Amino acid sequence: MDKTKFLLKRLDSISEWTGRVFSWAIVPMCLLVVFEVITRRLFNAPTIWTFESIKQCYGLHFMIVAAYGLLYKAHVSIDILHMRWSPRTQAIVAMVCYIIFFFPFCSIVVAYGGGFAATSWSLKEVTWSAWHPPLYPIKTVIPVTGVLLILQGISDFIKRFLFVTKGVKL
Amino acid sequence: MNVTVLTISMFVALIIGLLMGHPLAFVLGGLAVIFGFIGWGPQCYVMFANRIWGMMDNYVLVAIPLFIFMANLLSESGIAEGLFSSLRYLLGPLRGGVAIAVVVVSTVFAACTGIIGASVVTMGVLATPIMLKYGYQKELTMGTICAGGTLGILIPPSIMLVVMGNQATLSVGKLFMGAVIPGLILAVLYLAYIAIMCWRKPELGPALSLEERAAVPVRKRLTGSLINLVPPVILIIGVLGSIFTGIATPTEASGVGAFLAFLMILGYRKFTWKGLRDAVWSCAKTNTMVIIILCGATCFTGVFLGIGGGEVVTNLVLGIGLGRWGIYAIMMLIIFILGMFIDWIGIVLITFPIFLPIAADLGFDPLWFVIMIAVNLQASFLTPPFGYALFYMKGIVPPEVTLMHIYRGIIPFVILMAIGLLFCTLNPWTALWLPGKMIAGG
Repeated sequence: MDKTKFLLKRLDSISEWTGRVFSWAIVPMCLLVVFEVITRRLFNAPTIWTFESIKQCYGLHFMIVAAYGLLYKAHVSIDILHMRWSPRTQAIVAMVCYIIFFFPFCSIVVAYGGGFAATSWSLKEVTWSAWHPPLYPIKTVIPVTGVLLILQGISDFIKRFLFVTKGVKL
Repeated sequence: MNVTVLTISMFVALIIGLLMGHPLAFVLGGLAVIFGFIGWGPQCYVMFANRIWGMMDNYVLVAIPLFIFMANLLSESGIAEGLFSSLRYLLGPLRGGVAIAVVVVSTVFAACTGIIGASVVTMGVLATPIMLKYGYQKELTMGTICAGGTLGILIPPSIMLVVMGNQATLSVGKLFMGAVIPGLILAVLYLAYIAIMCWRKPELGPALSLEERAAVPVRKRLTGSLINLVPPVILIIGVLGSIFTGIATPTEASGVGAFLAFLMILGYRKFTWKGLRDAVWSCAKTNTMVIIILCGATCFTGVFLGIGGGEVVTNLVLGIGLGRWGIYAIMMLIIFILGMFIDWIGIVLITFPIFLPIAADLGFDPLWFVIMIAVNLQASFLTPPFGYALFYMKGIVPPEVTLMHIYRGIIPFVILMAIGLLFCTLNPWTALWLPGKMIAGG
């Protein structure tokens, strides 16, 4: 039991800390947009690197904090029926949903997103713009997000499983 | 398997999946995996990575996190508090004056922010205790705050319109401008309703007592209102004005808006590291929630359209034989009913790939049609059992206000929304005039 608790704590803290750290990507994103507006509109001297950097910041920001959102139950769900069930039924249905929907989808994201990123790495892919920054790091975020989601999903699944089998609320 | 059977089973599975209470994003993604495998084969999963990448490599969607960030910062800045406290003294001598102040402040706040949570919670916390103290009817209080706060997502900037522009491949700048007049029409309808009801039945919303009025002199009320209007007006001119005149794209305006909101926190001397940290963290949670649903939904609609489901539904609807406006009415009714059960993101992502081709077939202007859906979706925030505004209100009202007060309170406002939708349907210029005046298509 203590080992499981330790494992759950570890899994949750991975989501917690990736979330806490990468949430701050919003600040450079915001400042880069302001910088872009000032250089382009006020001084008519746009830089070639801001546009791509903003997009990469944004792609990183919403993807990698997905597991953090799952930890805090931020992902919206429809609970009209859900809230009428007993806590035990809720937990069983949640486990079924994790098996039918969540794990298959996230596994596909890891597998095919991984392939997508691997192709990019093997080509040393860059963008078409004048600045041509590498694309493979940001594409790697797709499978990484999938892995983080699966880890948080495993933690949620175990919590439900313990609740159903042993009545332990974690 | 037959395409029609596959399409119908996809819908049935979607409804069952949604009702199980699992996060929408993963229900959509999971169904895409299952039906992609049945109807297409595993090679379709390559498309998933491509489509998710399409969401990440997207400059228009950058506006979503930045508008959310801007709204979170604005709630911290206390801009709504200042404006509300001076307006309520200014309008207090009128019957229903505090309710009118709520709608006015909500409308101004709506033109500064793009989400509803911030406006409903801010106005609910500020106005509920005051309105109840002055003896306003509970139903009217609840309805006013919910309906006013919901304007936040219709009046631009609006993350809903950004998502809609992305899904419908329309200019977000034009959608923003198109939603201005319909949003103001709804606000005027609310104001008129409150004023007429309170004038006829003063017990619904009594005027401030003479002692209360004496506390703050008229001169001070006027100057206070004007001073507190300056910061939001600067923000509105900066954000919406720059989009309208073609100086900035919505994405650029969102970044500058968030930055201005941060400067306002400094200006109002409300800056704390904890406040900034909370705004950053809560922005990340909202942002990932919205865009991960977009990722799940893009996989779902990819599979749905790939197996030919779009044509099945289009032929079905066009074959009913109700004529152009009959089908329009049915589409609007479906969206209204879906609004009771699903939140706006789900509705937009599920109905757009199906309804937009039908609307195009029927010869409706796509810009106008999308704005009508946006107006219609206003009701989805208020209609039980699943309405965001209701959830937010339930969390902040004092115990003497029950859920029934909230439900009864929203009924007249949902009717006003339907009237507004009907008016804008009959008068397409309401949505099309302002976008036509734009200097550049942002």
